[in-house]
Amino acid sequence: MHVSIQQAGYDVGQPVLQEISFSLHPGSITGLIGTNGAGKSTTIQAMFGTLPWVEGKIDLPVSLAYIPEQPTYYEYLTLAEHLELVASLHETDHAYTERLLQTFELHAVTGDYVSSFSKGMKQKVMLVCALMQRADCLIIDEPFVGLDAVATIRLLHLLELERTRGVAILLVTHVLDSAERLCDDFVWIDQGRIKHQGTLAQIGEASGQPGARLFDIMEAMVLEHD
Amino acid sequence: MIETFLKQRIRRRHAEQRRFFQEIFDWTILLYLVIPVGLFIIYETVQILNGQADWVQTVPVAWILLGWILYGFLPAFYAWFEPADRLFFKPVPGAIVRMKWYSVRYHFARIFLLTAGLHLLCFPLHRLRFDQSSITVLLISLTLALLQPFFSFWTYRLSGQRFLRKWSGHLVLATGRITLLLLLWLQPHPVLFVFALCVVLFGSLHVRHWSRREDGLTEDILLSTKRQSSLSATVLELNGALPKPSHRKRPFLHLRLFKQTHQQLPLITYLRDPSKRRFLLQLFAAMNYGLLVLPWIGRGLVIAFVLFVLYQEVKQHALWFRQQRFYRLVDSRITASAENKVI
Repeated sequence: MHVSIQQAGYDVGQPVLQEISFSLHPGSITGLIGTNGAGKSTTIQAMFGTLPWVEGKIDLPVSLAYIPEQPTYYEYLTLAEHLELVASLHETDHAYTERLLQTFELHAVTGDYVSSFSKGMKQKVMLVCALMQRADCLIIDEPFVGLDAVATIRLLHLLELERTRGVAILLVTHVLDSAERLCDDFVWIDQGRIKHQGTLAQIGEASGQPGARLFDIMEAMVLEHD
Repeated sequence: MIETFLKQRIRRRHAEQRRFFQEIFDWTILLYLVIPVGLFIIYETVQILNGQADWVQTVPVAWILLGWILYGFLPAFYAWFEPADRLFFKPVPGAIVRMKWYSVRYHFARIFLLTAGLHLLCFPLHRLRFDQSSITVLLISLTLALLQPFFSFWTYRLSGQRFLRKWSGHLVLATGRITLLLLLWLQPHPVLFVFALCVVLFGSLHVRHWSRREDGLTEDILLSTKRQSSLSATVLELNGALPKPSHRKRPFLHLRLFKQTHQQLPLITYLRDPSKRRFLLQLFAAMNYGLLVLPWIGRGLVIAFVLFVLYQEVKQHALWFRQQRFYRLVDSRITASAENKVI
């Protein structure tokens, strides 16, 4: 699973991303980090094939699930209908889906319209719809935004389980503590290009702060910039 | 599953449109518009079948052709995509392609039947005025009905292009379409049918090529959303049946925007009132009835009367609107800001 984007953007000839290249490995979590507007979500769009212009090669498995930052759903479908739709498009395990619904406390509202849910519940629906696919590769964009503490803890456990199952996970997040705890390696994007890449130790060395935490590295960068 | 899902979307769309029609139609429309026009069509059909339709010789063909030229711009083609498809369908191999293919089948069948049906209404004109054989008229109907879905498809494909390519493409397409239409109506030479067949074959290849590609989903979703929300949603929003997006309210909050729109506001508020809108439709339906049954001098009076009523209605409403406190307050702020600028 390798992503190699030479140039990509929303209009041909106007690159937003340049020279982005990284690999995803089965059973490993890669963190895609960077400031707002650095190009993280655009990278995901390029990987997912929804960016209008992409020059490069994206080699991802067919079995791919994506959890967007903004919950995306059908306004006129209930939660049960969403689950039915996903089940009809992918091979899913009914018992596992039920467990996921229990985990995220959604089992009592399956007959309700997703559009009537709160932001956090919608985010949970996105998680259930993606995780129930049991895909080989998971792309998760800001999964912790809108989730309560209990759901966040449960999600962290689920991601650990998915890693154990051999799933390649790309995690886009601003929550550096959780990223540091979960991720095996990182891709740090800044202004549409890769700034640093590798394990935490490698990033620390590359930025001249060996052994430092991600937050400290970013803080130093901000202070230097200011 | 995707087929079921598409059917669900189409049913939803039709229900939405039914809601729109229920909103504006009532029994008076049936009484003054549907029944007289229906009776008129039956009567004229009987006349034509008995060979007593001399009026066909005096039908203004240029106006009918103009109507056909305008009709060519109307039937919209779009892929039945929604924003959430990016998430649910994109990762499934072949799902986008299947959805595109079902969209093609639906729209092509719809546009084909609509065009063929409308053209068959012109059957008497072709037979009696141009003295064309039934086979020729049927061939013209079939050719136009086959061509129209492709023209709609190319119009759709051009919508996503950049400015120069878009408008030059539209120009070429419209010119080609109008030329073919005029030639088929007035000089239906066999070569024309062969040429039309070639256009259909080329179009089929293009449609096939487009429907097999999985890229460009974002653009398809944008265009689809735009097309689907163009007419009925706007009317339903104006009517208050659908919640309005916030930007529609902003002209009331921003002085600059309000200044640009406040001249049209009386008219907009008039049309937003369902009772006023229904009155307008009833007026037009009654006018239609009058035009059908009265001699020519009476028709002129009917039109003059309807125009007078319309003028009075809009004038009275505008006057009432300008007397409202809200309007006077904003108007005084606009005047004050203009005076400050002058100073």
